[in-house]
Amino acid sequence: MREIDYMDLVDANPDVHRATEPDEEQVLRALYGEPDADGVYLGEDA
Amino acid sequence: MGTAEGMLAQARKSLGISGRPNVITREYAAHHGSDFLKASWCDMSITYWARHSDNSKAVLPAGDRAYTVWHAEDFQKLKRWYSGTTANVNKAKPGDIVFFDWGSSNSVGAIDHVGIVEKVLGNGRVQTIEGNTSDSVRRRVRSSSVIAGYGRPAYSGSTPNWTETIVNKLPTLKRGATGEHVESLQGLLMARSHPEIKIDGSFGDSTEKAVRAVQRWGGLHDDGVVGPSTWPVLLRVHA
Repeated sequence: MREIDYMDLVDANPDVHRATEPDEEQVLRALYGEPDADGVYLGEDA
Repeated sequence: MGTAEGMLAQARKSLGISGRPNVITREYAAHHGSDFLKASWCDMSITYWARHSDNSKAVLPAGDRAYTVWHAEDFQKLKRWYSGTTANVNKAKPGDIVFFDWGSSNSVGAIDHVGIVEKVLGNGRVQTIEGNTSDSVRRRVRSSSVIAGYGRPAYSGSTPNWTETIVNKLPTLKRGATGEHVESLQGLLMARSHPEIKIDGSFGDSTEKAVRAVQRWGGLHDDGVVGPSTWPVLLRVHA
């Protein structure tokens, strides 16, 4: 089979798209400061 | 050939990319067909960062990848795969490619997502950068409970850190060993709350018992042999 035929199996689980650690925001805020308007922690890389 | 830091620098540049098609899916589609323009793009992100940091050979040993299972298998075939146990996750390094299975199976066939390790947090957790999480490139915190394993690219330009350099020079010690290295070991065991240890340079019952206890504390297999995995725990420089 071709790679494209498997792509429905990628990023399929809902946990892909959400925090799986209850303190994720706290950890990321401590490391990178406040997130942007979309909730992305850019840090000094913005 | 590039470095882990170069790979991470590319990932950081992508933070905030969202929606599809985007620059990452467009590039993959340009090489592999337009069907990828709107396909799930976590592994396309890894491919993109590798291509743009001169890390294709290390990160994509069998070529570009969008399907996560094949990518994990590439690392397995090269013996550069580490299953997602808590002990292994604690030994991950920035730049490692981390694969997720969500069901605590550590099964490669169950993998459906991938990211790159940016920081090792300890206690079986890493901070990652992932593509196509909430349809964007974001930083995440993930634990061994959702990590199937990670691949360690053979980055070039990466030199052993001082810990690895020291540990590589230390001998493997086990019951029956004698000499000054055993004395050093016994001193470290005393410092690790084992006052019952006497510094006599002889690796006997009490030394072995204390080594096993320290190994259990460090999340290692308690075989009583002091080697490359146990020395960092004794020196307090493990992840």
